[in-house]
Amino acid sequence: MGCTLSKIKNRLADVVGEARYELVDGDRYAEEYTRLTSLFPVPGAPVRGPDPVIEEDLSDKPTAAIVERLRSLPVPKDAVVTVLWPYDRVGAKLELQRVIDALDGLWYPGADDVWITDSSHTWLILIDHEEHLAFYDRGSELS
Amino acid sequence: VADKLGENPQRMHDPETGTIVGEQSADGKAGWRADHGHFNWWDWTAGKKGKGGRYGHDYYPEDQTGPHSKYPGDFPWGAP
Repeated sequence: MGCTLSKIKNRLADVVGEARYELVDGDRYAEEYTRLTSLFPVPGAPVRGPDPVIEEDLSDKPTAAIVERLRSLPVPKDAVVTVLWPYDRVGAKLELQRVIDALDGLWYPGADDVWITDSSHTWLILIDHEEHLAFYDRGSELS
Repeated sequence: VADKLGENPQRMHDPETGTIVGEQSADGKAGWRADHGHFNWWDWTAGKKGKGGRYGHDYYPEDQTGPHSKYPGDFPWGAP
């Protein structure tokens, strides 16, 4: 855990800034991971729904286009979100706008999946290492 | 990619067989990982996408998948 924790911390420090995020690791990471796998059909989850509202292959797009696609998703950009890097078993809390602005430095295609949600856990953005985007929204089933 | 891993790469092992199923440099900028049905590799040491970085996914029949990373986070990256 120590090596990968340093790797993600270094990325966050470099592209977001030390004081602009809160690390989510250890038990807090495990709690968030368990919660998300119980609510959304992410890889390894026991649940099979809900279906994604948006599902796109962005592998032929430049990073700038992927960033713009994230900006277009119907979620508040000023929300404080939790980003998980499940391959590294670590996460961070920070504003979604900062995640989007710094995506190129936070997500390494080929290597990383990132899961993004807020404290409501009604929606989740998944960008996987093959550059597939999925957006899940539990809002309709909850209303 | 192998020449970009540096002196202290992190490795991912399949705990059942002890097989190495992934390696990456300490900063994560270069590496490879075997997943179910495909093999991922990345080299972001020269820059990111469109700026000198290279990466890919090599696919093979899923029934030919050997030891691999399973689901994200099942096996940790760690010391060799």
